[in-house]
Amino acid sequence: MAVFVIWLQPTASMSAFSGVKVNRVNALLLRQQRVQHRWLIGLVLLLLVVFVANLLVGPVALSRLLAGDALSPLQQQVLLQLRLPRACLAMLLGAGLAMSGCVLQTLLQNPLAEPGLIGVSSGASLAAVMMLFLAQRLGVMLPPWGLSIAAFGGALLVTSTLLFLARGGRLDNVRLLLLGVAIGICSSAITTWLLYFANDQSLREMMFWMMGSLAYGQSQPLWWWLPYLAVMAWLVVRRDSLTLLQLGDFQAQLMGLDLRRIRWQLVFAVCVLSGLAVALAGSIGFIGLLIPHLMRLLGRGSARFVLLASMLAGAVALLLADLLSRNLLPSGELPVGIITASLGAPLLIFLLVRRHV
Amino acid sequence: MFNIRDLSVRGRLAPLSWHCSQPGLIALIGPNGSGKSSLLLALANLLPAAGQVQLGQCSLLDLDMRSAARVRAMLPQRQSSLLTISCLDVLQLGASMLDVPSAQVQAVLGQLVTRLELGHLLARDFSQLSGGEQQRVLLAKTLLQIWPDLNPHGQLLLLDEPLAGLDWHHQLQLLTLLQELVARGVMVLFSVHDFNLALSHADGLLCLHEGKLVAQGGIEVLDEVLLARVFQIRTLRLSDGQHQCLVPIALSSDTGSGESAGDRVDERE
Repeated sequence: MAVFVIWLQPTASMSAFSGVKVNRVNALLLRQQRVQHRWLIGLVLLLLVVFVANLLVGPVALSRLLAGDALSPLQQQVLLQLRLPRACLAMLLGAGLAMSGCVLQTLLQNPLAEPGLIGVSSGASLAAVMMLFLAQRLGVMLPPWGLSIAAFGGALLVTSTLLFLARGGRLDNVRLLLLGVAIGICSSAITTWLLYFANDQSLREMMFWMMGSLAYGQSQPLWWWLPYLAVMAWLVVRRDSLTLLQLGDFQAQLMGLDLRRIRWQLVFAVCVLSGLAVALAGSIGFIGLLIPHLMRLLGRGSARFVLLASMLAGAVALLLADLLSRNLLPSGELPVGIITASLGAPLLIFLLVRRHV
Repeated sequence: MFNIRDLSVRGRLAPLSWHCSQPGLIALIGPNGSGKSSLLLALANLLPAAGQVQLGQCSLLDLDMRSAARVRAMLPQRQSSLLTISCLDVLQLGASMLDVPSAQVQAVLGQLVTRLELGHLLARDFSQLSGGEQQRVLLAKTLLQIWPDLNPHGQLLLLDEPLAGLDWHHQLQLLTLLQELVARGVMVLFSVHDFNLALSHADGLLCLHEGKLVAQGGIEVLDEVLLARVFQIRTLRLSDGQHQCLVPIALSSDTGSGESAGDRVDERE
């Protein structure tokens, strides 16, 4: 929110221009800034509404909270121990995934880049599925944090492999993408092997994990979120580097950006965000791919705007998806990944047909 | 002012030296693959190079990327973007690393937009423009980075085929703007395949062939003999007393005349 307030503060130059006959450039700049400010304010309001709706709507109705009535002990328990942590989880994961997609699309100059594409998500999923498989084979009961640790370890392993192979600038962006795709295919192949040999119980657990669910992450201690929040804050602070990268790495170097350092800092940041996201909620697709595109269309592409708007819109999208996943079925819940994929894929097809992507 | 000593790029450019005492509009010519882009990239500090490049008081090759971006600007060969970005945002990138109040940037940007006739493109998506339009927007962005009103440290402008894809009107418009920039103390080096535009507007010439500097000097160096030697073509010079142009006639099969032409060029060096 603090970032948003800073964004909205008028700059000295803007105030210097007030009262002066502005030319076409200034008029356009002011109009663009006004449109972007309106969208950011709209997204903040939307986020508040969806967040509150997530807290109130569900099998145990809490709408009396709006009327100012006191909640029963059961309702308090549902609100504070189930819905509030889950809504926070959805908000942060959605924001982080969308930011990761935004960074990757800008960095790799590829409109279809997302965290899954550089192999991090699939590596993390594979590690989690492998842990489930081994636990079933060895007859060991997994602690609640076991899967998350395994998934984060998988993400870290893929990241380290990428950084190792690319040391000394041996991998350009295209090769990095191809390597990510190759790692993703390897991970999927091994995961399929494991699924084939799994028994019914662990197969169900594995599928649930692979489809993405917010049910796992709520039980993690708060310190799990520290690196995640730190990386998000760092990305917001370094958004000017993303602005320079908008026309590709060559142009960024011409503008004075130390590309080799910033490139790997950004890749590492994306790996931390997407690795922790998989560790906390399994594989959730389409948020990282779609949200930055939509925001780019709204703001005509300014990277400063797209990063902040993606952060807010990603949070809104995953909160909405979670709301649907919990309430579509009369009993039980759908994996949230199914909702994001079911809504995201048609939207992506629509954008492709309209040639917006 | 500008002194290149034994500048070389491994596998692409043999050691070359060149000195220029005052700012000028220097045309860089040579066949495809002769090393023009490599030379420009090396001067921009974007390609590992050996040797020394002295620009005024600073040694260009020793600068870090950020400092280099304040001293020189470069337009690379045709570059596009797959992501949605407005032309106005592209233009603003040109001044992103200058510590100048944005009111000042907007004022200069307004002037450049007017002079390069880009007003109607500002709100459009850069990735949807035609090749020539993209080139003009990138040119304006590059000029913004080096424009003396915004960047008093800017001394060198490197343009890799800036006229490619532009119509005659916009070619002449750009060359006029470059001459103005030279008059304000900026050295401009541009690679070009249109010899006649070089003849009519450039102050000096560098000619590369197979990675070697084979001719340098005033624009008068550019003649039929040089073209026969380097490009293996026969040309005809037309003149009305004030203006002159070279017309390509045919491929030159007589290597003997090429060798003698080379001798004449070397004498001028």
